[in-house]
Amino acid sequence: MKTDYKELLSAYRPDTADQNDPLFAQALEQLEHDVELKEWFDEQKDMDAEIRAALLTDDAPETLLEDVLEFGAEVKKKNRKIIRFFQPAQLMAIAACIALVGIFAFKDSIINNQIIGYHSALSKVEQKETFRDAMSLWVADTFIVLDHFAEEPAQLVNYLADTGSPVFDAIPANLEQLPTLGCKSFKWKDQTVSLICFHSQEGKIVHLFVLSPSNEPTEAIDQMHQLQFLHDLPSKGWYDENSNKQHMLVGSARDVSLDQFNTQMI
Amino acid sequence: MGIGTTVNRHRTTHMVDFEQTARTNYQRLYAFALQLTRNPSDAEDLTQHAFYRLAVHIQNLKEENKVKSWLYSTLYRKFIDQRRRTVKFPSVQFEETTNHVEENTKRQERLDHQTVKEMLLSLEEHLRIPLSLFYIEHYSYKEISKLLEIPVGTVMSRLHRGKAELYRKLSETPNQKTGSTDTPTR
Repeated sequence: MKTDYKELLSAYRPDTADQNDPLFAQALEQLEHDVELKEWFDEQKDMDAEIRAALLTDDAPETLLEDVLEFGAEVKKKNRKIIRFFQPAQLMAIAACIALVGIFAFKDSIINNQIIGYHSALSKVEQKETFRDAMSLWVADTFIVLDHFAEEPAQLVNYLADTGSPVFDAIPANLEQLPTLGCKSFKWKDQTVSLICFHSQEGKIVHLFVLSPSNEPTEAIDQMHQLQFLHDLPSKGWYDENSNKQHMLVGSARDVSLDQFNTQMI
Repeated sequence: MGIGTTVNRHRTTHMVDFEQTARTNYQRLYAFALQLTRNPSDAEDLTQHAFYRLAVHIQNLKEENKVKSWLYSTLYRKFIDQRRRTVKFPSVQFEETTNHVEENTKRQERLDHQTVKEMLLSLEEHLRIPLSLFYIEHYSYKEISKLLEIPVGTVMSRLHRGKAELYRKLSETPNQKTGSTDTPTR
């Protein structure tokens, strides 16, 4: 039995979280009653402290840290180069070139149908009085080109915050768990709106729009939580009085279930 | 349906600082590598390898508090991998490392410290490795079990046997100040 206690106490680290570990409780209690065990334990504690101090004396080669820091800096530089290659500005330039080629190739069709349609839709969105109506129409009628792509909400939030766009402080937990597609920031009635797109469980998209309204919210706060269908799309939202932010969820299709997101508990 | 969580939690990610991590951990990581390889040059290579992997993967490591165990685990896996490949070759003998000790260190202190290191190095590997983690990094039995991928009971038993063996060796060593004490025995 004593050997069992000794074996347990050999793994015990004094003055650490081990003192609350139930595994050691009985052995530690036994120390109170067994003088020989206590003596053994105290000697072991002293020995361990000495051994530990001896092992922690620095005999790492002097050049080791220098070498590690040097190649660390090199790898960082290399990573930066790779990242730079994929920076948004360059991607935008490549996308613009592809778009130009496309425009020249399908000039008539695009000008007549897409671009005019896009500007027409934007103009209609501007005219909408309520945030919910405008954002629902924006999703229903426009082809949204995202500014930044990432699968984690945190990355998109950081990106939007860095560009000075409004970001949510809290969202329903089950929405936060959905993978994201990307984000965008744009203007509506001279106010910056940010958009984060989540992949819904139905394989569609849940759009989360955030706005810091310059005046009073355009919709009664107590009605924002209600699910409504505008432009044949589901929408519901909430308003955060502390941060003065209006949030609106809009599904990409009628069958996207927004009921599962409890906006009243935020 | 739960209450939403704050954005601030997200904003604490991507905070692992390579230089800071290297400065904080390189000495103890090297000490552990030395206990694994018993060769200063191999220990240096292993330590560099672990930090190289960290530099490459640092963007994927989001939790700063897990970086240390990631480094130890990476280093240990590399050691196991290398040993597997060179198993046909005879093991390399431990070399003196006193050339790295600072000149102004007192002779007696250096001997004591050096003796402790050598005695630990002389233990069998299955006792030496968990014991090194216990002493150098002050790891718990659970952490050692996780890192070395061995059962908790085995860790307990090896720590106990390893310590007993180390105490015995130290008590038999002349000039060792701990040798004069009544060292714990089983």
